[in-house]
Amino acid sequence: MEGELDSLHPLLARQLRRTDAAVDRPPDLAGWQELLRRVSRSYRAAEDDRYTLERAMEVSSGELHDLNRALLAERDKLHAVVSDGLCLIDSEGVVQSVNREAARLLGVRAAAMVGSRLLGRVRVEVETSGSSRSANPAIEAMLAAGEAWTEERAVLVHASGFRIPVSLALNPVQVGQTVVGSMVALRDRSQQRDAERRLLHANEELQRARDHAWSANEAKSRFLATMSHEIRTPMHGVLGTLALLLESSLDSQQFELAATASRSAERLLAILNDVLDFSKIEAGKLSLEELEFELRPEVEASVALYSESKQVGVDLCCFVADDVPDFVVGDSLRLRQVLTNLVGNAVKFTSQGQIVVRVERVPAAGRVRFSVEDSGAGMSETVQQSIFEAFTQADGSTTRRYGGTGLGLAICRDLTALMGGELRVHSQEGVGTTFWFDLELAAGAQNAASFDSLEGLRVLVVDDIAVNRQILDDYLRAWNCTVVGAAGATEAEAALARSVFDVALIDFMMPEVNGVELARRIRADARSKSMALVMLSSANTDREAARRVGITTLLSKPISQRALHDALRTVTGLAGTVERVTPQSADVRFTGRVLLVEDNQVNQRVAAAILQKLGLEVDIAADGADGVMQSARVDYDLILMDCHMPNLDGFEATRRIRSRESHSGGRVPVVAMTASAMVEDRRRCLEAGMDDHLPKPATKAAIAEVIGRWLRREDGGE
Amino acid sequence: MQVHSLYYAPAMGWSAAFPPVDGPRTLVLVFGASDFAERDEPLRELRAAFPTSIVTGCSSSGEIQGDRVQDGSLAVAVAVFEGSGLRLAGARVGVAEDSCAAGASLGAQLVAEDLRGVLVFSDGLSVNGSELVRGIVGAVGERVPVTGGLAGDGDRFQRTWVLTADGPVSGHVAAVGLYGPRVRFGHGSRGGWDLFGPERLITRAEGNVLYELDGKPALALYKEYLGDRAAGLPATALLFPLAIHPDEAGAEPIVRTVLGVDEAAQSMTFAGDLPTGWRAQLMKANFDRLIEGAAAAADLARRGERDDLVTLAVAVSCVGRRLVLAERAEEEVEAALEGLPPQTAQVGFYSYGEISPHVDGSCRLHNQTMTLTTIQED
Repeated sequence: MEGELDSLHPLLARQLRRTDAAVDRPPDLAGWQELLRRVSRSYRAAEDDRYTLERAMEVSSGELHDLNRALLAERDKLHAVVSDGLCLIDSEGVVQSVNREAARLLGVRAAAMVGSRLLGRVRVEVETSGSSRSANPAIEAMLAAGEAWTEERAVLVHASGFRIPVSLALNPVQVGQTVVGSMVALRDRSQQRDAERRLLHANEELQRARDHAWSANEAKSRFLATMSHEIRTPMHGVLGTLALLLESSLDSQQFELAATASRSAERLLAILNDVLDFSKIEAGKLSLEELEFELRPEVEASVALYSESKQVGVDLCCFVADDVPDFVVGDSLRLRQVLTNLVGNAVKFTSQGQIVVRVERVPAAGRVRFSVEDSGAGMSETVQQSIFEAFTQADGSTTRRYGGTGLGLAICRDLTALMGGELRVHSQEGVGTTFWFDLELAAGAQNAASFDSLEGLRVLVVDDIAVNRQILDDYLRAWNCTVVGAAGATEAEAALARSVFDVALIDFMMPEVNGVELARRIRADARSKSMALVMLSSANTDREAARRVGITTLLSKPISQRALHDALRTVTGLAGTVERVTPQSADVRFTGRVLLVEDNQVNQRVAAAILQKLGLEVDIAADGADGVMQSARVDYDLILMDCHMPNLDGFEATRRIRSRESHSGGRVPVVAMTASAMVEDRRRCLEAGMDDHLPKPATKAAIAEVIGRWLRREDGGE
Repeated sequence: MQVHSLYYAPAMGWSAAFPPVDGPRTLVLVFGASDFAERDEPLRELRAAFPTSIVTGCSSSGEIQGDRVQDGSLAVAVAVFEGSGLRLAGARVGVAEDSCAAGASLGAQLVAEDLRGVLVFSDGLSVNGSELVRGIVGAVGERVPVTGGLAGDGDRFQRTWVLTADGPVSGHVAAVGLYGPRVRFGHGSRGGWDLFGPERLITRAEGNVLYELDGKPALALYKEYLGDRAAGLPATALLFPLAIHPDEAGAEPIVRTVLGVDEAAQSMTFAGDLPTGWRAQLMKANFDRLIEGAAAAADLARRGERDDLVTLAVAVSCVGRRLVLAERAEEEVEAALEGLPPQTAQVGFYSYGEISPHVDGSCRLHNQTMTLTTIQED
């Protein structure tokens, strides 16, 4: 104890000093008590300190434990997502951790690996050409030096002799400035080889699929081209035949029927083109024409197209407001396409009531509004939202009931948008549907042949349909006629009793008393015997009955403004007889000898007939080879060359002709005849050495126009 | 320069008669228990004895006199300069937000070509110490050392005061400027705490009020660590000061000590800022290192001082150290004194925050340190 007293704890030593005591000198009582207080405080403080430290250690151990677990979990997660083998070794080469992939490659359980020397478990060899040697000593050296190393062509050799090709990377691990070990990354090259093989295989599959897709695509293109050719060819026959029929002497009803048939055929062709164009629209490759055209006939023709197909009991009306310009600038074909589509839809879905097509100005916007209103089945809100999508129809049963591609409205929407408008719809189930769009159409430079004034003409309009009466009223008043409307026989007779009329326009199809019966009654009345009668007829009008009661003039509904005007002039004696429309081109004649190269016999006949009518001498070649041959024998003034022919097509035939001419001299004009009006085709024609282009089906007028560019007219005009 | 030490204890009165050295070149520093604000007779006696001297000081969490640590006493040092100038400045700090402005005001009152050092004694509860220092340094410049501390209130954290001409006043900051080429102004500051436990992110704090670490209430964390000793909050929070540093490599940590807790807001108020996004780590005491720290602070402070001159040493140590060291607190005071020149008179106090230049020379508020200032006159 002596030693202990020699070196008291410094605290106790100080406490003694503070109480004026020493090892060999006890304090007085006050000092003693002070000493006890101080010693007791020390014990308590020491106890508190111990508690604090223990507590801190406990809590912080807990915290660190949790953190450690989170870190390990994080590391495991990382190891799991890393597909490479990872093995952390310390600077002595002893394994600290391995992930599953590394354990697999090393051929041991992960747990067994940790704590043992990595290179004691496995030999690393490097594949050199031919021989393999152990790289273990080199790796040991690099580990010791803390160097980085990568070897793409390493092989792990297990104790069993099993070999796994790997790529191996050594990366020194630093903590601060000190290298504490290395991370060894292993990538299984045998798997890599598998993956490469799989990739190669997948590539081949892709190649095959691509080739397949290419050929499918090519087949589609071929199919479309063939279809277009195959359908167009008979269509050209129909059109040509009708053109010839229209040239013959027909009465006005026959002419109108033939004209409608011709227009319908043209529409069909147009629809075919539209289907083909749909892919172009979808691909954003469709461009619009900007040409001047007469609006009224376009609209009326689009509506008239359906005068035959609409259902009985449905009135099809068309009204173009007076202040709409006669000529506008735009794409007539596309406008007509939209209108025919919309009217066609209306016709399909309307079984009673009326379909009214209106073209009016929207004064505020300076635009022209086109609307097609029907009293058909209508659509629900839901259906309205999807009808503009391609291949969608009002419901699944629609296709069954009405046919159709489901493309119509999608095309309409796209075309309208291209023209700068927006196709919109308003519909109510059971009430009807209205489609409309507004277009900004610049007025053309030309004006239509103005209507002669019919001033003072007193006209009685008898039609049970108010819209029809309204339209006729609008037209007639624009020509300064006096108009009285009557909704039926009773009202008409009352009007006739009150006033005198020059003309009565009587709808054939009226309830109770029909048009023929009313006409009979009027004719029977002496007061109105001299009054001219015009019947507004539909497809089902009994023309014979009409004629029997003395009606000679029938106007087909929907009524065109021009036809109405002309009919009124005729029946009131303001014009001579009923005018027959004959193309002016009939009078044009040329001189010269023409070779027609065309494989289709109907087309041969039609074209030859037209060419002969134009005063030309015509030879026919049945295909391209024949054409080349014939053109070598005879000096033709012009060759009309069909493009698509079996054996030798028009392009190749032309190339051969041009090739021959380069030796023999001379250059005969070659005019291509091609069904498609696509720009690419025109370019192809010019590239082949052709000079001009005639779209099929060629009308007489179009042929005359093109011929006029190349041959002299008989009368000496160019 | 001559220095006289004396102290006052209620039971025995003044340890000696006041030396008759009153004059404008006399500096009287006094540190005492906070309840002298009520029984201020001895303070009045002191001021009456030195009517033309610079008299200042503040309340403490333990008075340091020589190698002793006392409670409930007044520790006084009277330094009489021969050829150096002294100036006293004062400023009020109502709320912590005023701290920087108050510092700037003090600095502006003291700044001069020949200013050699500034001693600052500040209210310990309503002041943001780091902002106060920023204000002073902004005004006097980086090259002038600023040292001192925040007044203490035992382990109660209720009321602190600074001695002014009107007596002890809360919400006040006093600063003494020392002028002239003969003044030697040394300083040293050392902690001696160990970092422990995980590093945490300061996720929510406003100024010197800390709400959340790692998204969890900071107060709850402290309570977890304190266990039974949480009953002693806020004082016991001093057992675990917080070391904070910006979230970047190599950043020097700063120690922050707790001044108060708010149970309702689950927040803790520290003696200095806790910037959001900084890293924080708890610290714990290491007895030997605390004592070594005090010795090291003395080493730093005497560097550049002359051993043959009389030295006034102002020791400002953290209340947290006192709490941990308890009976052994005197060991650090002894260690400090032992490290200083032989003719040193040491006076000082346990504080709520220490002020002195950092190792890199920039003045900072420190916590949990022993901070020594040595003053000599050639």
